[in-house]
Amino acid sequence: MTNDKIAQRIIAILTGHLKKHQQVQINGLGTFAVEHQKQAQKQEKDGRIIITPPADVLVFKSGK
Amino acid sequence: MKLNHEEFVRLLARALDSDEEKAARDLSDWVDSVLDEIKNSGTCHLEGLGTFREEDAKIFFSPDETLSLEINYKFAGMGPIEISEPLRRAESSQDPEKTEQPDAPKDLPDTAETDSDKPPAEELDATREPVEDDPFALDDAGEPELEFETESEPEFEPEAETETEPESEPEEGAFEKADEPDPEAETDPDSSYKPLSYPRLSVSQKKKIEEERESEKTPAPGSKSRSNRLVWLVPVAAVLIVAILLFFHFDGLRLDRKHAADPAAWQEQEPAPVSPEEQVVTAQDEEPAVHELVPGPEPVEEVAAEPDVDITPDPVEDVPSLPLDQRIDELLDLPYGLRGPEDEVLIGAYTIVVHSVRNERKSEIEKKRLENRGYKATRWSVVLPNENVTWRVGVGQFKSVSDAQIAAEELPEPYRSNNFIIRIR
Repeated sequence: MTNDKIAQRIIAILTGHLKKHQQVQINGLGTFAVEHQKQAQKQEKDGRIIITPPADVLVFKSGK
Repeated sequence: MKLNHEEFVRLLARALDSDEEKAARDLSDWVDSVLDEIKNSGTCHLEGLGTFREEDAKIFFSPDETLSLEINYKFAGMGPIEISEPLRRAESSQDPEKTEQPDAPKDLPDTAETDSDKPPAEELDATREPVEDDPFALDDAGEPELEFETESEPEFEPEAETETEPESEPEEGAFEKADEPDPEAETDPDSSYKPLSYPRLSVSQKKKIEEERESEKTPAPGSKSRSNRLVWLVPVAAVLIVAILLFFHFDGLRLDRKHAADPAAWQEQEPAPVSPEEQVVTAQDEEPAVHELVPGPEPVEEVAAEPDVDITPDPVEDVPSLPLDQRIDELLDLPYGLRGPEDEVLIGAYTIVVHSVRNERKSEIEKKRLENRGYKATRWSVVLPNENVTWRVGVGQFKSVSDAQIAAEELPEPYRSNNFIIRIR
């Protein structure tokens, strides 16, 4: 099996678990995780008060 | 749930149909190739996953847009909402989904900040702009017509009154016979006056018109005399009322003087004078009733004091005045609140989203479940940029974010701790 196909399988496993909001740890590279950001209210520089929506975001912590 | 390295190797071995040692070696080689590329070129893009980049000897990761959307499918399509926009009523068939599409920012994760220390949400500015039904529009439109009539009244007196009074129809018919009608006669005052030049009329018609003018200059028997009567009737009526009041007032004074001068005479007028023996009996049985035997001027004074009491106005209870926004809401009867039927969707109001699912049937079931619990439940769909559809279910409609947050605290679990507020547009 070529390296490209191996890379595709690795990425497929990785993204499949991330879509389920599961944390994935790979030694030597780092840890992928999904964090939930709550909706928040903040004031812009021009004085407008806005509400930022909640979001589930993917974060990465380097292993090195 | 966490997938550690050993489990990842096991899954990779199963996917590659190989043993775990080879899978571990393949995974290690892949990691080394990624790190080498980052080290050499500064970035490494992996299709479907994202881009690694190195800054200040640290590795940062930016996820692929498709992957971010898949992870954030619950909240995808939502953008920052401004809480100072006015409210307006929506069409009955309008869904809130239209609002979320244009506001979807591509840099949502960057803009979403958790500011828990921020002050509570400010109240929504509820100045609803009456754009379509402007009551002042009619007045503005009618103002030029009034100016036209007043300015042209001395010059176009015959024509102006023929338009309003049906009595002058023969005169208008005379004008039509005398000359062809000008199509601009009704709109342009200058052009309307020109074809009505008198040299084109016959002599008999001229005389008729002059007679009509003279008769109109003299006051009409009905209109002015009636107004004059009204003008004079009011002060006459006022004078009469004052005279009647003064009569009763002086009549009371006259009685007072009469009683003060001759109390015996007033005493004789009593219908049943009491004998001295009876006076003694009553004095023994009861308390001395001096007022019953010899009524002095006191009852008269009480009668005279009554009008003063009547003149003073009755105290009016102070009705607590509601704030203007609340009064407007009551007048408009806006269907705000957490519970009740969802009769109307209010554009600009806030709602609490409690479900965001990909399954349409599941969303319908959740909506019905909320409705059975008595909540105002709304369901709508959102088409994501990757053409996937997410169904959202919201409860309640609120005027401000604060109201929605307070109402969210009343929700049962798990809705109370897992909801988000959006604005219907």
